Amino acid sequence: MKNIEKKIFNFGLCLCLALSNVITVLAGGAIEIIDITNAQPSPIPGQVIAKVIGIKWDVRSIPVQYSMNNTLDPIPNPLGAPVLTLAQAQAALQTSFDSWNNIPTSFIEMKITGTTANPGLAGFDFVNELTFRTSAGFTSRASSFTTSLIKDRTFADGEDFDEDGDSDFSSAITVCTDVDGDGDIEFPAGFYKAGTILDNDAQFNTKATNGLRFTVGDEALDTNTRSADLIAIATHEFGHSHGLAHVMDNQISDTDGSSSVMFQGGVDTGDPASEKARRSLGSDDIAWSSYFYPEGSARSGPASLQPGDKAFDKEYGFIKGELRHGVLDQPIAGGSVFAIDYLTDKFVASGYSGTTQTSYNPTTGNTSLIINDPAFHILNGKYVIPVPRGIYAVGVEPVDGNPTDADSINRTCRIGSFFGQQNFNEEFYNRSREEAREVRLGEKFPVLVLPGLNLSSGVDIVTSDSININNFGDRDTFGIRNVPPGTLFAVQIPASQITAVNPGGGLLIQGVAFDTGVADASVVPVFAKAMLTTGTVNGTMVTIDLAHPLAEKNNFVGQDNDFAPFYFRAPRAIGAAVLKGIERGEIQNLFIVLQVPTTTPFPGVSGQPPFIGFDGAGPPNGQPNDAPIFGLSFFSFNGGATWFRNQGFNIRFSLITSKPLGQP
Amino acid sequence: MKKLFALSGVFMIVLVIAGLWATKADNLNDVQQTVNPVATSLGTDMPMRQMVEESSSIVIGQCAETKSKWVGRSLVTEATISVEEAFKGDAAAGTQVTVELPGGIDPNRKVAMTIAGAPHISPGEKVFLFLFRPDDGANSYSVMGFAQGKYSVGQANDGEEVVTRDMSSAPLQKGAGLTRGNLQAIPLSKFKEWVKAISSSN
Repeated sequence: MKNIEKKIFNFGLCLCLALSNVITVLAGGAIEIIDITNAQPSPIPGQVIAKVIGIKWDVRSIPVQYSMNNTLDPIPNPLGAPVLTLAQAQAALQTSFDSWNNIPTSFIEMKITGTTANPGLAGFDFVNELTFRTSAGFTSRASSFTTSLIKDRTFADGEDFDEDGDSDFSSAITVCTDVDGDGDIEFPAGFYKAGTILDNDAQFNTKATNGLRFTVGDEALDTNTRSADLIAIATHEFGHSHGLAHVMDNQISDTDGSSSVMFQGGVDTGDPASEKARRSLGSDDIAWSSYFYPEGSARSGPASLQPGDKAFDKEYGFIKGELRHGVLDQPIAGGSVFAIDYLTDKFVASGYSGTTQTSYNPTTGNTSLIINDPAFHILNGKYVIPVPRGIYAVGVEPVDGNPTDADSINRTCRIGSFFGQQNFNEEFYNRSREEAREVRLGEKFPVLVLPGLNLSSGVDIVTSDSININNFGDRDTFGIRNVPPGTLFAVQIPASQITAVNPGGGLLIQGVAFDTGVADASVVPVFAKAMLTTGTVNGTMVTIDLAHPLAEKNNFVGQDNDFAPFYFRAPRAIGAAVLKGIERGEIQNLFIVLQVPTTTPFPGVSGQPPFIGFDGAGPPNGQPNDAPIFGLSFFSFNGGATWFRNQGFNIRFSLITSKPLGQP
Repeated sequence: MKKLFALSGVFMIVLVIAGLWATKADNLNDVQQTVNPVATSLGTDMPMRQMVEESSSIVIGQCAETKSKWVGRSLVTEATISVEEAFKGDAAAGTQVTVELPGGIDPNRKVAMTIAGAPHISPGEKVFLFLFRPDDGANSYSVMGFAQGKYSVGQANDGEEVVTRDMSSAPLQKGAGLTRGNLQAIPLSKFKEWVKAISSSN
């Protein structure tokens, strides 16, 4: 069946079957804290069980009012001109706020309404401060820090919660207001849920030692990594300011290397195109802001529909399901489940799996994972992804440090990582074939999402128990810069390694994966060709059969700072053919091959080819090799006529295999 | 004929370039031809060399306890680290150092301060830390590069200690061979060698 016909057939099948799938879930992409409301005793004496929850502003806080620290004008910077005035910086920051404010399906609204003359550092004082002052210990580019409740709480009129001698709650108001005109915000007295944000500040590092020159406007964009577009940086921070966590999405489509705004460190300050792109929200950013602040969810107030708004529940539906680890047989906390457009492959949104809890010491404020039992900490592996109406393919990738580590996302991801759950291959949901042992990891089942209809629940994913043959250790470097177009890289997988996966038994060869990257964040690492083929090695004579590949893909799209899989359509047939060939002595090796684009210029401001990951550089510039240099990596500059053995590195290409279905 | 001539010319150029590269092939084994990941799109990271050079203290230790406190109007978490091994600075093995982490929980007021991407250290966690004193005479250290200077020390399948970004109670994969997924940890012994090599080359 042709690909498009297959997609239409699958879509029809999806439509027929989807009505039977009904599961309720909660999970998400939020910055998380704990909730100790009505907490039960923990297994640790003296401690209580704390639920892990997201943070958000209460509707009474909307619009969130910010104050601009006016004690630095112009804005200092470590590089000199162009120098921003305070007014220019304020206008840029409001532009960043407006990116979020203008989402028609989200009722979040953040605006700069005043100034504060704070000569010190921002903090918890009921003044939502924007400042270019940072502490000596602050080494990041910028940050947004939030004070929120960890327990449901009713505040009485006149209560001075931040202990500054001034009332912070008033029964005379129904929305946050600076009642007494002293610069800080008073909240309406009354009940607030755990997770409610009371104060948020954003700080931007301009220190001479490790700060940035913040700029505004296209003409100021340059390749100096210490010069950054203020709107791009601030838009990211203001996502945190209303509760959004970091995401894994650093490549929107096969043609657009830009990341979601909430990807950590996604502003490549050496790439003007990246900085420009990151001024605007991506579909994932819009989806999660709308999910947490759904427009049209109330009949009055900020959440009610105003001119220009669109009701979230009329525009968005949910993909819901549970993620389980196929080898550990556990629900996964903090797996990144993503949705791409089924027809275009364009990334749309993602969410983290899992409902989690931890043990909390009410005396010290410590939370801990010392109850070393995943069943205690991980209640389920449920996830939700808010997406506009459409047809989607759903996939999952591990939060394994590439492109982002769990520690930098949220507590749920940290818990999953703590229990060793992030050791699986990226794969797609394929409905009835979704098992720990499955044949085609790249097979996509279409998931139909229609707002208001519960068609897209029960999208349950089990990670595969695939076995990777990796002739490499941890990544030390990327390369190779300035190689000529058409350069070929190859990794040898000797027959003995292949037969060792399931000695005496069958084998599925499911695919290959390439560790790839780019010099410029706005660029997609597209390679001319990826293939799996056979070859021989006799001393220095290497012959790789590029003319008769077992599997081949032209214009292979890699991933930025991650392994990019190329999954095969016929793993059984390839596995059987390879084993038969080995048995007959016809196959001595498999070769995983990747070719750099054959034409120049390479895209991007750096003009560099797409990179591949290397293990092995040696000290002092690279870390000591955690794996020997195997001599199984090769390269060719003449289309494969001559191959050179790489003696300094192991190329990080992986062969993905599995035992056949039904075999233990 | 002109076309044939032109094609021959192109072919010759390709041959020459291929030949030039063939002679340079061995150089590809040279680290100079590769790119430190921090020079790629991940440009926000601090190179290891810079982290070693700018750290005032580099230690391996175990977190004895953590407690949150207010510093001005900011909540911070103080992690007390029992130093097991020191590579740089005045924090000797057998002593304790205090590392101040942004954010924390106030158990009395029942509030938390959170900062996305900030480092976390848990009681009982073994850590490899790159530290600096934010102010002259400060009693506590900060982590270099926001969270970048904090590594967890875990165990591999064979019991060897390994360095990893995220704290893990489960055995981790290291090196080459048959693996699940592609998450790989670095042997602690190798990581130490790396830090020492950079330190000694300065």
